[in-house]
Amino acid sequence: MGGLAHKKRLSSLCASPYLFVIPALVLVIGIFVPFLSAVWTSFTDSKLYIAETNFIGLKNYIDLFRSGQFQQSLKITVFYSLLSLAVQLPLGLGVAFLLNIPSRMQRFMRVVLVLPLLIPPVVAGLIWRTMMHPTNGILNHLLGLIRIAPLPWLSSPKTALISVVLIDTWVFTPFVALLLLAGLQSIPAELKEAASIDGAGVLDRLLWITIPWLTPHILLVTIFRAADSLKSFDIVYQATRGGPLNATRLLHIMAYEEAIRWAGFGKSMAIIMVLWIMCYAITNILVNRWKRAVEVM
Amino acid sequence: MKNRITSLGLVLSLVVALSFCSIVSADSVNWRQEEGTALNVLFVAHPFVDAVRPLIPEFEAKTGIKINLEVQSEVPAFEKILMDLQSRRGTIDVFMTSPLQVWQYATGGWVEALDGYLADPQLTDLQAYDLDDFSPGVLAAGRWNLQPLGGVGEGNTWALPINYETYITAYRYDLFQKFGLKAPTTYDELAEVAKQLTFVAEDGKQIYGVTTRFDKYWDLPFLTYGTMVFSFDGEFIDDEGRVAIDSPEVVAATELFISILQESAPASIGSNTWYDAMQQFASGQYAIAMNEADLFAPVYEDPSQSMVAGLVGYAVPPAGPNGTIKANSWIWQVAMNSASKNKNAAWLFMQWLTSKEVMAETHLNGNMNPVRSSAWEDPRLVEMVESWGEYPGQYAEVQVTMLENYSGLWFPPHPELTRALDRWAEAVQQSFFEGGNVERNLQKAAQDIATMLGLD
Amino acid sequence: MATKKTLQGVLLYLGYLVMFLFIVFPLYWIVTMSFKEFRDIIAYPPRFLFKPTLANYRAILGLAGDGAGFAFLGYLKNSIIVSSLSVALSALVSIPAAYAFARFPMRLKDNLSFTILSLRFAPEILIIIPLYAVFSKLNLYDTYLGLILVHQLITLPLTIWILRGFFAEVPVEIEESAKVDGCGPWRILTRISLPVILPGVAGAMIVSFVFSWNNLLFGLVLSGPKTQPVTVGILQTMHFDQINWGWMAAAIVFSIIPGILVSGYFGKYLVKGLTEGAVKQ
Repeated sequence: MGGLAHKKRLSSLCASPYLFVIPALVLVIGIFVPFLSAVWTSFTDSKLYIAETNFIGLKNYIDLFRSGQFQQSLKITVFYSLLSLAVQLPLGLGVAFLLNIPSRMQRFMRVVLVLPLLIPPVVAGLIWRTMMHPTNGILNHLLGLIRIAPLPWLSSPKTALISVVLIDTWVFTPFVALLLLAGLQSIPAELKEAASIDGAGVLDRLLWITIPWLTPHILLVTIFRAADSLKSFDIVYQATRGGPLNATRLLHIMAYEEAIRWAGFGKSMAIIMVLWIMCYAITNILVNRWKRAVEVM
Repeated sequence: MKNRITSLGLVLSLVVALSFCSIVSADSVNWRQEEGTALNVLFVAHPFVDAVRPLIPEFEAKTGIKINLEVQSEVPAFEKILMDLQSRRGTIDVFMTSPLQVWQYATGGWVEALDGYLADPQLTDLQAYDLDDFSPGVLAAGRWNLQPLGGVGEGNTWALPINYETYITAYRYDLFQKFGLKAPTTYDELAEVAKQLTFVAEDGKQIYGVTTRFDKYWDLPFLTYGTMVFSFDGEFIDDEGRVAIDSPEVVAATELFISILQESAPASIGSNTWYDAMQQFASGQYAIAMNEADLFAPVYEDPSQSMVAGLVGYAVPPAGPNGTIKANSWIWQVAMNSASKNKNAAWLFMQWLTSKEVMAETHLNGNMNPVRSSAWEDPRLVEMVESWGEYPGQYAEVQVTMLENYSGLWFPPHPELTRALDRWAEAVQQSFFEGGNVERNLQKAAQDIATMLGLD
Repeated sequence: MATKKTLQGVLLYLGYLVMFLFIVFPLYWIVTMSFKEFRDIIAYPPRFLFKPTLANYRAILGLAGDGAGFAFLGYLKNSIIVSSLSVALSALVSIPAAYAFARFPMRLKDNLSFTILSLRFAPEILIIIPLYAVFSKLNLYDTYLGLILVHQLITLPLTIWILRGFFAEVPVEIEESAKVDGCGPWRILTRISLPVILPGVAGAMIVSFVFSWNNLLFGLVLSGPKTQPVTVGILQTMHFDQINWGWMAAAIVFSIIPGILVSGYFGKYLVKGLTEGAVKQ
């Protein structure tokens, strides 16, 4: 599209583009001090209730990678994120398309869509837990009415992880759908008009206009959902406390227990750093994709 | 191991009236000495707080000290207290806590020793306060000489008690009577009875024999399952200072615990939390709440909250194979932040809060169970719990028996105890879910715990 | 053709129905819970019919002796102040920043914008402990200002990155023509580009409001009795001896209302008509 040349000329008008960014940066810098202190802590044997801390190099990290629990948590965390993404992206895309079709109920359904986002994840975890309770919950009761055998949901190590992904899906698919819907709505009318003049069919328009237009939005949503599900905590902790038998003990839960319940601050920060690096690496890849997608436009 | 609280103890004074007379005694303390101070207080959501909140204006009027009360549920409260204590900023002056936490906080030097305040006649009217009125074991649980694995009840006083709960059998006496059964007195009996009471009722409803909490969390060994272990003469640390949770006694208790749950509870028991256990029993679908908190009784007995009001009997928990009964206890306490900038005012508040009059008032409004003998003798309290149980006065009778003989704090103090108990709970869960070797799971846990406590 | 239309209509409403059931059933369950007594909540089999009670609402509004001191409207007010001002501040700061990231060639652009994004994936316990000390030193503890600042961690990266994507998609030609008319960059931003991306702004505002509204840990640790948000209030219905489900449900029902209003209001801008008009001008 030759946008680059235009962009250059445009910017020459504005003496300092940094002016536009400074307010945002000021707000952000304050956060780095705590962050750096956390990096340092991960190399120490810090226990909250012991004032004295010693530098122990990489010991926390080495201990972690040697521990079976950490490896299991790492595996669970990755699985949880992948499964969440695999379910929520297509589902959210479908809902976005659905709500993009003009109809009398459109506006109402958009408000309905937002509702799960308005329930704090902590509470969503608790409420879903009661609904999923195998003997006393409403879900198994309803299944019973249509003669389906009760499911163990959160109470069995085999089904717990999938059940928490289901809760996560209920809470966060609207987020995916909402952002993709905004993306769909921002497709310039000219583009669509041009396409229909060319006589493009529904499928053609979808493949050659909608999807390419939506690609950066899909990538951006993936960035946020990937990072959020890797550091997922609230829903899972309320629903299972990491159990049964560690089946849902995500890395963030492991770090939380280490720091808050056991006061092992140094070790906890090492887990957090691993989590941070994972988020950083994955986001970095996705952001590069995103940039390419945007530049194509 | 010595130096643990073997029994909560209870001294019932014969002259009921005496304890009330002392209220009127003249105060030597100038209660207005800290006028104008404001205190930040953080409490855990508990019937105690609902009961004490309406009384706080009285304290403010009496002393001129302003109380900024913040209430959080248990887990968030612990998080926030930890944040503030470790920051040493002293934002929170007084907070609710329990021995398990205090052992960590005191090791960090985060809580103020209270002995100096108790001894200072300018600050404390010891005669009116009457330390001897506290159940001695409950009071002693707040003292510790800071030695890991020893010395509870010795050294400084770090916290004062406001209530306690202990772990008993609650049973549906209507179902028991229907089957011609009696409340179980041993765990073998309990296993047998629970199996019989797992049945499909006439209306097609499945009834289960037992419910209890069972998730991977320190409250399992510290409170409920732990009560069974200690009654089997199991120990956490034995006399040689070795982690003993793989002893034959503990293995036997654990095997029976799991088999009771497998035979008489639904398969989902493996993720049961304390509130699941309470709600399940209150919903009328379960015959026995095994070793669960006596604190749940007020809910069970309230017809707007429970389906089983008036149908519940209470009993001392079953005895182990050698006739031993040892029940754990949970004690709520108040403590002072050692970084507080308003220590004298904080002390006045704590003293007022744990005084006879205020304590008695809170118990009547749902703060269970009393930690002062005088409260147990309060006729209003006696009347309140009179109807609870299979026969009049059963609940109170069980409570007093528990306090006098069976309830204690059987764990030695250590700042890493929560981590160790979480690990123990994990081993029990492993044995349940993987159907594996109980002994081997406990052995592995014992090794890990020894490392955590620095005993290897 | 007519039958095809009908078929499409049927499929559309079928889609609505499935979506509606999946989304609304848990909410329906929460709402009924808020009118139940505890015994009806724990009953098995679960009860669809019951004698409704307003006791839960009375309790959380502090009208019943039972919930003395539990005045949920206070939490609601705090949350409304903190979340709406956080979102407003983020929008104010993000619009120029996102525009600059999208339009201007800057040497440090990628580093800067990625750094801002990376804040978003910092697990909260990473920063909460050091932050608590900083807050109490600067007297930001238990103040609205402090909470609004820390909520920027949630709202700012989200807003900047969503808007950056939308700005990047605005055809440069539109801006060029405005430039020929003699508009400066600020004018181009506010007059030309911003109206075009209103759906994006609306989407960003809604989701960042929601994330800010739902945050628990910051509110729990960094606010005291004066500024506690609804999430903290809702969790206070978990007592040591029981979870007061009825109170919790009633508290949730109250806490949803502002979100519905916000999403209803901004939802308007998610509708195509407005943007089309802006583009055609």
